[in-house]
Amino acid sequence: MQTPIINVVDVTKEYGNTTVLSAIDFKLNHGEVVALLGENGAGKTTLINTILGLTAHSKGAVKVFDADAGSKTARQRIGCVLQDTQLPDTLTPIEHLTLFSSYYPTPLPLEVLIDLLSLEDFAHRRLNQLSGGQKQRLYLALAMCGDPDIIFLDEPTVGLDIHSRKQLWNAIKKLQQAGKSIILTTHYLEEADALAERLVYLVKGQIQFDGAMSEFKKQFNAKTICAISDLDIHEVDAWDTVTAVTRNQDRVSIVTHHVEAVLARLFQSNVNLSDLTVSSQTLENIMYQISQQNSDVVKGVDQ
Amino acid sequence: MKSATLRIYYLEAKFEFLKAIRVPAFTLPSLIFPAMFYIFFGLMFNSGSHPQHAAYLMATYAVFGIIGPALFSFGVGVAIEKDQGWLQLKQASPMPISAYFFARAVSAALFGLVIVMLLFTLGALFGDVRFTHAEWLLSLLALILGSLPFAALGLLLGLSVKGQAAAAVVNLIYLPMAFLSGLWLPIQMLPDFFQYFAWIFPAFHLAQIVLAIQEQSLGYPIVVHLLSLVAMTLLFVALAMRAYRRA
Amino acid sequence: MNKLLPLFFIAALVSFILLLPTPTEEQPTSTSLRIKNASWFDGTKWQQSDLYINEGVIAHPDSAAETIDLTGKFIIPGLIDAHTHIWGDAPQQSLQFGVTSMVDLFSDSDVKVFNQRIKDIQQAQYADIFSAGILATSQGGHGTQFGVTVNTVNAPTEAAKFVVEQVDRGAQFIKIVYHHEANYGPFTSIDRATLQALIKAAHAQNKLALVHVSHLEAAKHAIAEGADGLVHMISDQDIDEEFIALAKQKKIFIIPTLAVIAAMNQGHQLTWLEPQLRLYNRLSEAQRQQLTQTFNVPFAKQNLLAIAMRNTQRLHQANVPLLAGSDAPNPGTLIGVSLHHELALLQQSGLSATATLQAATYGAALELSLPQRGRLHVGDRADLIVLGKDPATNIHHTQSIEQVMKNGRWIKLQSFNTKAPSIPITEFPIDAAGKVAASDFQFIATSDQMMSGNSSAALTFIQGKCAQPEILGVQISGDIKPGFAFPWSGAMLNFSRNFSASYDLSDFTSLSFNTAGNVGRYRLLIFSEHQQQPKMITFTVNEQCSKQTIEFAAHPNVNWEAVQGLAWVAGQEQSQFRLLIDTIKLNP
Repeated sequence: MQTPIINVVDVTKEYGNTTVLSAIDFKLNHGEVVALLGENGAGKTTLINTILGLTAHSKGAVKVFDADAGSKTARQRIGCVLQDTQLPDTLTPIEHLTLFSSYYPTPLPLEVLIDLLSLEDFAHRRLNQLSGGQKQRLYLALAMCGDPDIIFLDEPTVGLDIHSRKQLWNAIKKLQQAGKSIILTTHYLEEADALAERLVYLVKGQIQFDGAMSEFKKQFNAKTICAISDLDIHEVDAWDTVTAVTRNQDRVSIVTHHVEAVLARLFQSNVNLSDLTVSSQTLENIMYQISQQNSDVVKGVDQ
Repeated sequence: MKSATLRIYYLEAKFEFLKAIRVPAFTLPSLIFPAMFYIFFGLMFNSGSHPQHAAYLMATYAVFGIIGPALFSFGVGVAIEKDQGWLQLKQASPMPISAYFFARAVSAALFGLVIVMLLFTLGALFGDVRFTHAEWLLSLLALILGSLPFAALGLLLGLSVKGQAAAAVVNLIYLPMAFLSGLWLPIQMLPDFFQYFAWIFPAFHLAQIVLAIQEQSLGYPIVVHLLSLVAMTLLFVALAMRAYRRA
Repeated sequence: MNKLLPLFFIAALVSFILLLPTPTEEQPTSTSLRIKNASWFDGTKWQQSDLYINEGVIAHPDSAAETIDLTGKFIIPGLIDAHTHIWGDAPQQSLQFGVTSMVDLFSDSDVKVFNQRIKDIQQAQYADIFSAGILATSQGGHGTQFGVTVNTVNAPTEAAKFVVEQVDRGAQFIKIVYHHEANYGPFTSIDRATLQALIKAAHAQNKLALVHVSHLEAAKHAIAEGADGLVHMISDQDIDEEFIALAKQKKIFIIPTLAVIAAMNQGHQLTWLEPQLRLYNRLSEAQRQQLTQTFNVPFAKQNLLAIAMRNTQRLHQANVPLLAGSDAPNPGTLIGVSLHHELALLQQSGLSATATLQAATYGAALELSLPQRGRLHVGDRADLIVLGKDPATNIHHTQSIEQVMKNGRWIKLQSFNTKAPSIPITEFPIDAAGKVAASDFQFIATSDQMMSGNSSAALTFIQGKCAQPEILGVQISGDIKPGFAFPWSGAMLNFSRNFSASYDLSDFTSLSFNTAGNVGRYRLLIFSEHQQQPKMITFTVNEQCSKQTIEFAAHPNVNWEAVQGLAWVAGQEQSQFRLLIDTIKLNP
């Protein structure tokens, strides 16, 4: 096991009576790309701000390259795209990059940045003339300009059209290939799936899942069987193969990883079934599912 | 300081200034209003009054003039950039955040300088204002350094209020303070009560310092006004630091 | 570029500050000057080369000098009037007419002040005055009739004491009034022994003895007793060969003062004053009137002038040095102006134009030992006149004065010929109620109470601490209190009630007054017609008496041509204060 470049140990953050982060343990190793998922208010941004040193935590320890979070050493090796950032409109990308590059001891040459993020078409235009995607690429360039080891991307593609999103994904993949460690928050499982190998799932300030993307999908790759039926949901819920059963008037939903086995047993038990459908899980369903479990953290496989 | 750090300060100041002058609709009024007011109240509607009137109001409108950029740059500018996340992005970067405030102070001082020079020119050309070189220079320096307390007050406001509300809040403080500190009309023309009430305003103290250079102050020792300004500045800075940590 | 930026910025700021106007208190500066293309008279002969001036004196050629081209102009040394009496503003007024040095042959002026000014090469407001102080005359003799306190000399034994007294007072010459008889008209005279004693005493003090005589017999006595010069031409009769021989033998000089002798003749005309030349038009009608006034000397002969001119001619032919002197301001004469009359009369008496010029320049300086005056050699004072017409062809052309320089500085020439009412007085004698004699002028207290301020002022009119005895000054006791924006307290000199009248002060060059009181800055406010606000000039007051001079030229923004009143006030910077103002004077 190598030394983690980010080490969050038992971090709790409270605002008054509200607990925003609760006993978070999180490690990031060199070269990893981690997707941080969670509902709004789950604590993703707070966790990132804590690691960046922008927000103080109530308890625990956060180290970045063995330095305190927010220390100059830490800040020199981190680049970030924060959520909902707007840059002053009256400067041009070149001017913003010139200024930002001056903050770092070993900045990337401007040409390299412009090339890497394909900024040349609008490098000399004022920001109020740029599209959302162009701005987002500039933000990424700002995150990159100090040639950092770790890059934080807090919802980098939110509000972008498909095309811009794909362009940005390509840019992020290039960073990944360049050996950067990336922490990415997103609403989109698809985006996490496309970019990250590891996934951390936050619910109400707690880590509900932390493991490989494949493991996550395996665990949560359940299907839903839906039918109009008078079956006894408590009986069905007791089956080993069934994850969850819910009834909505005469319609029953059964969540399971073993569709065929459950269907066979349903048919065998001679209950009335009509209007039967089988569908894949949506992320929303998974989130619902996880929140319903209300159980201990689902442990992924240690990498 | 290392030259790399110096370069950060220089670039911050340069781009801060560029940012400001690229919004002429916002910048020009703040440059022109003090001069316009001075032309109206100090020069045109001044016939028959005392010959020192032009010099007196030149000083007080200059104070009015330098407060504007300082309060707005910090009060409104910081509030907006704080809301837009720009400030946070800088905080996350390895830049010394002092460079950001330094840049705003320099930019505000430069605008203040232009306003002061404009007023001095008007006073000299059309108001028959005559000072010794030392008096001109002292007045100029006092005015430029005098923008600092207002930068501190602006910073406190900028960090405390939402960007959308900032302009309204700043104006709500700026304009009444200017009037009640005797920047538009000599303080002696206000009822007695206001002459004592004015002591709570930094603008009053700065105006008295600048007026003392031309021997037109109310006559209290300069050091009293200086100490008041320093104390107010420290208070604003302390409160601003608290707000900064919370932001 | 980036490194130069702060430098550029600072330079711009410094230039801005330096460009801003400062209170005008500085004197016009004397710089190195080169005058080219003018014909100039150096005191003895005419020259064409460039004339250099530096630090108030004629200088060696200097390539750095600022050049002015005076093509077609004629330059002569500043004129010396060898016989005047100095009253009031004569030293300033004479400069206006090109007379830059004067010999004061009796006045009660403070001679030491004149002697100080002679040394001051910076000043350009006054002609240099070389004074004889009080004249030596007998009890009831000529000179005692003017109301000036004169210590008479009635015996040879009193001579030495008198002379020493005069020398102690600063006298440059000893002037003696003598007649060969005990009585002359209403006057007595010192006797010949006393004359002899006075001349000896003067010589013992290394002073020239200048003797006032009008009769040939008296003149012969004076020369025989060792007089150095006679201050009038003999006018009782034509001189004889004996006198001419005596004058040549004793190497005396004579100041004929034909201008004043002319005024003793009934109906003397202004034929000498050329209407087409500049001087004529600069004189007011009243001044021209003054020049035609006649001297009533009932005991004098009617043809004095003709005799005096004939005598002048013969003495000139005999090479007896003649010096131009006007004896102004006697009736019929004007300070400064009448010397031009004297020059015209000398020319008329047969002197060439150049000889006449010499009589008013180097000739006079040489005979009277006036150092650095009357000549334009390197090291001499840069006192000169620029003429539009050549005085060598006609001495009347000295009336074509275009510019006057004193101590290297150009004088602002004024026209006295103005239609606006000129201020009737130049000094402001105050009575115990604050009224100014011979005028409607009145001193009143003024303060911001009229603007609902809280300051106060009170005036008393007392013996001025800084004035000569018996002259009252204005004592202001004031208290500046906050209340009005621009508090003030002081004394106002209204030229009329309610500012209804204004007077032209522009014929003067400055206003002076003495001050003493609480140390600090005070302001003189000048209320003028067509100017809604008074103009303000600051001055600094010490505990000790100090003389403040407000140069009008330095304050062109004041409408000096229509002044309605003056105020001396304290402002914000004072609290309780006392300020004394006296000896207020307008200076030509």
